[in-house]
Amino acid sequence: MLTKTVTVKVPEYLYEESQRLTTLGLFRDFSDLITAGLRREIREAQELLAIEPDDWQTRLTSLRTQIRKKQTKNGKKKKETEADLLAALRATRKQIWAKEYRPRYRLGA
Amino acid sequence: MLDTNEFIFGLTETKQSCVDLLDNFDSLTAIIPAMILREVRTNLESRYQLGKEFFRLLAAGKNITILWADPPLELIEKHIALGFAEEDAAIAAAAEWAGAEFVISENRHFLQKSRGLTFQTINAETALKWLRL
Repeated sequence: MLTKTVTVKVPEYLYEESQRLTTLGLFRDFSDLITAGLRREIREAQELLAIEPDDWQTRLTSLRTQIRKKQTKNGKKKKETEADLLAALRATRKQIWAKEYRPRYRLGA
Repeated sequence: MLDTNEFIFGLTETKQSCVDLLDNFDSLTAIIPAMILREVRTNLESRYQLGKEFFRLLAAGKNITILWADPPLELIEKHIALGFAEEDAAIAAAAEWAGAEFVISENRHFLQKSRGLTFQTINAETALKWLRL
């Protein structure tokens, strides 16, 4: 297989985690892990792009219908209140910021 | 620019003004920072395993710009100095960086602030009136 050498920038915490997984023997090396990740992302993106585009309202209605079905299936007959949902969204934002975005910046403690 | 809560409230039909805003989304010129994209996807995935469906929805939008690049540190620091929590400062920084006119959010942490901002913070109900949607 032909290969190409490229330079990639990755967040430090991802690099450290990848080193741990490599050490555990889950991947041959860092390149093997990156290649596996790229294969997965490209396959998923191709699946998404292969879909015939709908108009906004059609797609919106479809997504809402799917959410309603899942809510019923999950037994969430009583919807979360606005306040509960806002608190949950704030918690997710805090987590994503701390884990994925904050490490990209040199902010004070 | 729409905050995560507008998408989630509008998709889950939690709040009628947010439902109406998403119904009229195609008539807006919208900016979505990558972090908001990530948040909406994470929330839809963890609750309904429908994270990817959000991308299909966006693919059907006409006037959406996704801001993939991270906003500069100086703008985040500016918004922290204005009283935003770090994670909200990143969103506010993205809004300023992208030149957004409005940030539409149901988050009171956004709505209570106006001093020093280059954009106006309004909720969906106000957006529907002001933007005549």
